[in-house]
Amino acid sequence: MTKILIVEDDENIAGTIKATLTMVGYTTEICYNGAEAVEVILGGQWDLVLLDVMLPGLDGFGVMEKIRSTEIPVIFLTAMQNVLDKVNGLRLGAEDYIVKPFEALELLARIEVVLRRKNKLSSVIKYGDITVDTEGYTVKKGESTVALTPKEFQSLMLFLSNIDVAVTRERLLSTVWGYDFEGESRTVDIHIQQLRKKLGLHKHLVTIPKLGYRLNRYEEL
Amino acid sequence: MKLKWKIFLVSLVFIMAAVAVTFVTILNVTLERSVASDRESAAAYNGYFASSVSGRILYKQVSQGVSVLGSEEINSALRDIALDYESFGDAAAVLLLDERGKTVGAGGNTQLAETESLPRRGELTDSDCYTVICDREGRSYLTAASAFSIHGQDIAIYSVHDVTDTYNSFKELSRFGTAVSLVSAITVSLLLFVITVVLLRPINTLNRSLGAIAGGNYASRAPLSGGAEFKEIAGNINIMAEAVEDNVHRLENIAESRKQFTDSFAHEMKTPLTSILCYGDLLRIKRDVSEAERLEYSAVIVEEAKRLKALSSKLLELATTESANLELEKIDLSGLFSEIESAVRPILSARNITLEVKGEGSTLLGDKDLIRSLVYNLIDNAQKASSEGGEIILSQARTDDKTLITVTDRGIGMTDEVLKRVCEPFYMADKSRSRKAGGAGLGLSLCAEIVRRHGGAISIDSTPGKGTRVEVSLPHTNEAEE
Repeated sequence: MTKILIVEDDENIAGTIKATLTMVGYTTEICYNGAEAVEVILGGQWDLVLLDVMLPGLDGFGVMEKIRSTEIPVIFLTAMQNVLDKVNGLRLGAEDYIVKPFEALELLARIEVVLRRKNKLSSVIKYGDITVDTEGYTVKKGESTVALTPKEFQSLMLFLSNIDVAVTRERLLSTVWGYDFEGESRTVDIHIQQLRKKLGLHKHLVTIPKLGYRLNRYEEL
Repeated sequence: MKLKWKIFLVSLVFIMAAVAVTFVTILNVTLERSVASDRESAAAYNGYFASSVSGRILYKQVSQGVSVLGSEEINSALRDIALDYESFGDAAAVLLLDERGKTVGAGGNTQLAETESLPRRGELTDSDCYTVICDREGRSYLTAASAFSIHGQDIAIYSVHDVTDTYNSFKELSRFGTAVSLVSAITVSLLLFVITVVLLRPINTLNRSLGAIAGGNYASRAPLSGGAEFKEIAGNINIMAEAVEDNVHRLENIAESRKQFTDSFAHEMKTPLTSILCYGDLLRIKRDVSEAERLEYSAVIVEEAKRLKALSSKLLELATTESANLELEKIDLSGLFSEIESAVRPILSARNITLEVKGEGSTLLGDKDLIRSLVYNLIDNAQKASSEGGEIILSQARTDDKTLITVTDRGIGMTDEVLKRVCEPFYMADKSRSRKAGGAGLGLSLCAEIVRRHGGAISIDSTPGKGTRVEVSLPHTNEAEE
């Protein structure tokens, strides 16, 4: 159970982050100011901290300095696009930053990257009779190994991290293919077809019209 | 070219010219005098020669005991005397010609005589002496022509004198003089140069100061050194630098507050947008959304969207107030107050807040929409600061030259710290409370702008826990700013 602490003074934003994280199965708690956050972090076991830069009293940077010793990964949230804030935060040891406003899956994708980097995610993911070894980059269906291309593997990972959540083509394109990809979303469709075929996911990896694709929670069908 | 070099070269040229002119003049005068002297001595020679001839002839006459000598005798006497030319003085040659131009006597190298350019006997009178100077084989010769008569014979005597030395000394003097004048010209010019450099040194100092200021160091000043003119220039430069520095600071401040405004604005926009975007996205991508979730998410989306709406319309009001033309009219405050009272009644009664309206009879020259907005915003603030069952007082009053509008509440109040910044755009004393009430921190900056456009003043007193009193004073004559 991955535990993530949300430090954000705006109640609504805190609420929406919590709802997003809970959706994919993280355990969360909220702190509305910096001083409280420092206490909670030092007094508990956290896998990740989402830290707003603009907080009343002790601001985000102040908090980061105080929790440096814990080596807990921090992603900071900022409304400002300015370079100084970003550089400051990264220098103080933050893993990444997210600029408000953000889409749900954007937030989740960044969290996942950081958690994977810090080995906070379990290395083996199971879905029905499919086993994925995230460290060895291998996929097995039942006993036999299935050969997936790197893009297919990444797409699969994205779906497995977002069970019951619709993943848009745009999100797939930017996460798996990178933001600079100029190609059509037909590429995405073809990849999904391949993925379904190779892993027999026709009934589980469904198409959501006008939106994208979704891997439903596993049920015997 | 630098000034000091210009001065040096110009002065050098002028000094050299002056010295040259002086020197050449003196030299020429000296030469003239020498030549004149040579001419005189040549004439003297001719005269002596002539009188010697007369004397010799007379002697012969006496020794022969005759009163007149024969022409043969005269001619031979002339010949002898001519040959003896050197005993009369310094001459290189002597040539005697009769009226017809026939040589009657010659001595020395008569080739040297320049008779061509001198008058013939017919033109010479007894008292004249004509001279001409010419150069032969590297030496200068003066030929002097004069005339005398012997026993009725008119004789022209041409004597030749070597005057090379006169010219040589002239040349020596010339060389010497040129050297001296060159040296003195250069020396004086160098002196002048040094003096100029010293006097002009302050220019370099000034130049450096100007360079520093031009390079962006607007705080640097020119030192007040050098002569009176330089001190004056330095003083003026400093005044100018001061003005530049002030302007730069003013512009920096303006740019800074613009930036702050934009940053705050962006932040205030992005905050509600974050919840809207994220909750909206969740509604879209989640497979199962529970009823509770649906209600919660949609409530926040609507609430935040309303907040954005309030923010953008307030911002628009603020922007248009700054640039709008005022439509001035005479406003009856009592009328305006009752309009506003009706408008706010629903909001106030929902929270059990009473509004007491005091005073009467004051009028005001202003833009009705803006004044209405002003009062409305003040009451809105008072309402937000008050808790349930609170009390707000709206009053009007007038002094000799001002109309006063006062809004008082018994609400939460503000500390001095907060008071200092309360009219800043987007500033909120308590962010969460303000946002909950749908505020964006723009109300008072809008009021401040309206008051400014009307040429008035706004003053705020507040005690935390006790309440706040906002007093707006506006001139009730045409002093409103356009």
